[in-house]
Amino acid sequence: MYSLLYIATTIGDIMPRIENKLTIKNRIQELRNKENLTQIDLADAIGVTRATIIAIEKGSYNPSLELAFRLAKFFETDIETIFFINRK
Amino acid sequence: MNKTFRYVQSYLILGLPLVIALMVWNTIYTQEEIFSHNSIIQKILFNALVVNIFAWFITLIAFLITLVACPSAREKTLMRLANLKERDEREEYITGKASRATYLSMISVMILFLFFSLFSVDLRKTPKEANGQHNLSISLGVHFTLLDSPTINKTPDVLFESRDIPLSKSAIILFFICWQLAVFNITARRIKDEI
Repeated sequence: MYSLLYIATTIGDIMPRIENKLTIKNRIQELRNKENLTQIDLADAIGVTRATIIAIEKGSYNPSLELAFRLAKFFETDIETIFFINRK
Repeated sequence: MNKTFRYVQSYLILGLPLVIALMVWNTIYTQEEIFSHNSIIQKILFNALVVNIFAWFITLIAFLITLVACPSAREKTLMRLANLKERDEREEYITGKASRATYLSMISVMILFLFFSLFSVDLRKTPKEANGQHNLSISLGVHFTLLDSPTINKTPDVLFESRDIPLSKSAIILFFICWQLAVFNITARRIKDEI
């Protein structure tokens, strides 16, 4: 029983830990300003409301995979260029 | 079906002022007073409003049954009433979270109301004992009845009368709890099967 517990804790130390909640940041505002677009223009272009664009830029809402791909396609770049994990 | 439903909705909204007008008119003047008047226009108008109120009432019953039975009709009508906006994925997410919180909150409030409707508490002074002192007694009771017949004064000339829902308060609350649980679970299972 003790040996099983020892093995379990050792495996826990070897395996990389992935945090349950990731802080995801984005460069949407930067890319939008580069293209001289307003939030409404971007919202209409990708089929969401202006409030959603505001929420995504603030970081208070993480878009779905589909919406992330639509943004990447709109800005003609990769998802990883737009979204990144904030490492403290 | 969609066009019919829209016409029914419009009729219910546009016909409501006429229904209210007749109710107010009949409150101020009795039917005998209205018909004793010599004006034919007034009598025709009154009869037209009476026909309208019956048609409106029957349309309303059909509309309410359709709302319960038909999910698409329910969505179209009640989404506007409940101020549910789902223009994009973020608003759908917000609606989902808010619905979840509302559902759990409603269930908890209904369980509380059910508790109060089922249980009774009695605190009373018992008669003086031999030592001349009052004692207190507390009693707890559980009481449930399914039906609650409303007071209807049945006279021989009344062929049919309907008033209130014939279920007791406890039965109504229990029904709503079971309905919420059932609808939520069935809908969740259906969505799970689709995904």
